Amino acid sequence: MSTIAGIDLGTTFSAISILNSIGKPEILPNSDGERITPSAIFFDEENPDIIRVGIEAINSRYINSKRSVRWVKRHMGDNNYSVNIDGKNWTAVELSSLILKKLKQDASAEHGQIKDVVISVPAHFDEVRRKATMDAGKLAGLNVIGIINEPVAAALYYASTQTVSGKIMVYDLGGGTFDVTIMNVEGNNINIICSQGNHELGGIDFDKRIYEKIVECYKEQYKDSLINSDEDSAKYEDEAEDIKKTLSRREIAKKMIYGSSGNLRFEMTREDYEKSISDLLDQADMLIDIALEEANLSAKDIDKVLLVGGSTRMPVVQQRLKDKFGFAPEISVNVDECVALGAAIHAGLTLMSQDSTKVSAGIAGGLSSINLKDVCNHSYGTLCAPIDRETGQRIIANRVILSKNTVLPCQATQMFYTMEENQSEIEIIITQGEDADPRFVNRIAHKKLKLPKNRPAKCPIRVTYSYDLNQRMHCSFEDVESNKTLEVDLSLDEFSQLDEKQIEENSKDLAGFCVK
Amino acid sequence: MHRILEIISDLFVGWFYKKTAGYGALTDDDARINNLAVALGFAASACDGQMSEEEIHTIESWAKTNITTSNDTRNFHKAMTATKAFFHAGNNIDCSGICREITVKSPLAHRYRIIELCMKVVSADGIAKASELEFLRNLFIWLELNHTTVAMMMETFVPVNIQETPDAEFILGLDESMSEQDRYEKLNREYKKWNGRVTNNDNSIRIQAKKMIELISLLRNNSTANIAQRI
Ligand SMILES: Nc1ncnc2c1ncn2[C@@H]1O[C@H](COP(=O)(O)OP(=O)(O)OP(=O)(O)O)[C@@H](O)[C@H]1O
Ligand SMILES: [Mg+2]
Repeated sequence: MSTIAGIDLGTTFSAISILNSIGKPEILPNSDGERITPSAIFFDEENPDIIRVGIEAINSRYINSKRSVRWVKRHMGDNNYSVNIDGKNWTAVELSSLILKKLKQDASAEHGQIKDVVISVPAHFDEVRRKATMDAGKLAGLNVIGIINEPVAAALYYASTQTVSGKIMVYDLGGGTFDVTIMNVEGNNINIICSQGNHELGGIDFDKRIYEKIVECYKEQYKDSLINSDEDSAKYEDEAEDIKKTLSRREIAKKMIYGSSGNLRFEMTREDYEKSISDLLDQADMLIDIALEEANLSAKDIDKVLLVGGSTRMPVVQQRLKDKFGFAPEISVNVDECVALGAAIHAGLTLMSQDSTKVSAGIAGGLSSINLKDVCNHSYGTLCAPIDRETGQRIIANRVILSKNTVLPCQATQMFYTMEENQSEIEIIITQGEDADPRFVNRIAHKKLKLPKNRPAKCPIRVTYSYDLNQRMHCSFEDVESNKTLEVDLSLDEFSQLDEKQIEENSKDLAGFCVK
Repeated sequence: MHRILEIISDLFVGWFYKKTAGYGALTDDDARINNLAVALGFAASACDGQMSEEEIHTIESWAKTNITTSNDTRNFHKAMTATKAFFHAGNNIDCSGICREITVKSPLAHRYRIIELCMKVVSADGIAKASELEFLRNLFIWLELNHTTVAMMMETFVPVNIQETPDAEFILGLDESMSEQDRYEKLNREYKKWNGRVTNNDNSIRIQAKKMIELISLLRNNSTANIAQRI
């Protein structure tokens, strides 16, 4: 039986955990003995076959930042993103696979081969990004048995370690992303209600505000630019992060800045810092409001707020939540590790449901009482051509069939009608998104259904979408009179930008590199 | 009314009678309103001190589809050229007066078509300047339109990323009469909407969505700061 693992692939830090013999998750430290590994990559200049991941990569940035990469998660799913090193264009998926490979390697050294894993993603990641994450796992030689939402993973771990009940809100503010998830927990029964989030809101955005302030102050004093190279940027990005962390402990942070025109004594108070990021935290507040509204709840209905992610260590975050909910948020769980820990639990649950013989009795016993009910992460619909009430003309509109936040597994049906006499086929476009305006939704499949001849207009077409626990969607389009049906299956694989063969070829390419 | 309008009206309306006598589908007023719309289109184009090819082209194609007699090419061009020259020379027309006339004579749906024309004109060259946005704001008031509808039209025709000086309140359909609570709710709704669009497959929509999110969070920030100050 192979080791079952969960991975938190973070914007700034990643972590891996496994299930021990009694089904309890444990973090595995990396080869440096650290429990979390910086999601940073450095392409060694002396040995072009060696790629360094983790703290080594962070340190090397100051020396040669052109060969270093960070924050890849921001670019997941972006076809236009790549980093050129020694003539090879590295995609976000390939870069992420290097981080995963490092985690896998270090963990396997002590615990035997790691193969079956669940990787976590922000709750609001769309299909393309989820699939890109899976592909990265495959490239790293992992068998990705599932993808779990980060806040859900955190809640799984939380609920399995303490007795909780009531409406829980998970507030996950990490290095690059923000998620808020509301759930109903009764002992080991966890029912997700809804999630909201922003995949470009996190610690690195806060750092940026301090960085800009340092650069501005330097310019003011010396009429000269502090930043003259990528290495300078790398250095002061880290100085800014350091100042931010100091301000979580103290009211004021002081730092000597050694620039080429002279030295600057930089000071920042917590108050000034909090002011400088208040519009960003307002976005988090708005997302809480939106999530509460989606859940049909108000702040006073929430029993507990659970903090996840390194950025929740900022006092201002905790204070804002206290002001909003009237009680202090829960900070007892380890904010950096609970996502990986929960992902391992989910991996155990997934394997058990797929094939219970793959899970040892001890693990199965440890997990048997946990019961998770998740919801649909997005809305799915179809394009249709209704008549506009105001103008009386036909317009193209998106009609949602399966709504976001419906409890999984789920199914929904709607009736549509053919538009013309003798209509020979219908064009079917499956969409993801909530907007009625077709420009603002993503088209995820395009098919045609042939129809019988010689019929009047307005023949009914029954459209049914269903979504299962493994995030697979099934759509059927049925011509009611003739019973003719078009079936469309959409698993995450449909969103792949790589097919199996490409993955195999890419894996071979990557095998030539040694990750350290 | 300024002489140029007389010219436009005379030319266009004159034609209309020549060509469509006996049909009776359009009234005198409809024809006149379409001519006035073209005049407003020109005013929109000229309000930033320069009339680009793309702007003129937008007006021309609108006129061709909306003015029944535009297939009388010779007179059509005569009218276009005369009008262009008029605005080129730095002359202007009384837009609020024209709008007053339009509001009296034409139904709401028609008035939206007119502001739509002006929106298309303003964004035709890929950038909507401060003066052009000011023009649209005035038009919205003069034509007595609904703010929510106009805000939605702006999303489509004048996306925030091409606006030189975006007026957040106008773009988002906020106005002074709203209570603090209403503002919060409206901003939340807008945030939710745009946050759902940041992963759109179309890059220009992604850019627009990011910009909107920035605007919304700044407005929310101002509101919060105002409330904090009062407390
Ligand atoms: N004491 C602190 N005060 C403020 N920020 C902190 C503190 N400690 C850590 N952080 C910030 O937390 C972030 C890392 O958090 P975490 O490891 O949860 O993020 P991640 O998992 O890498 O990112 P994400 O989940 O968004 O993809 C960094 O931006 C770091 O600067
Ligand atoms: Mg994280």
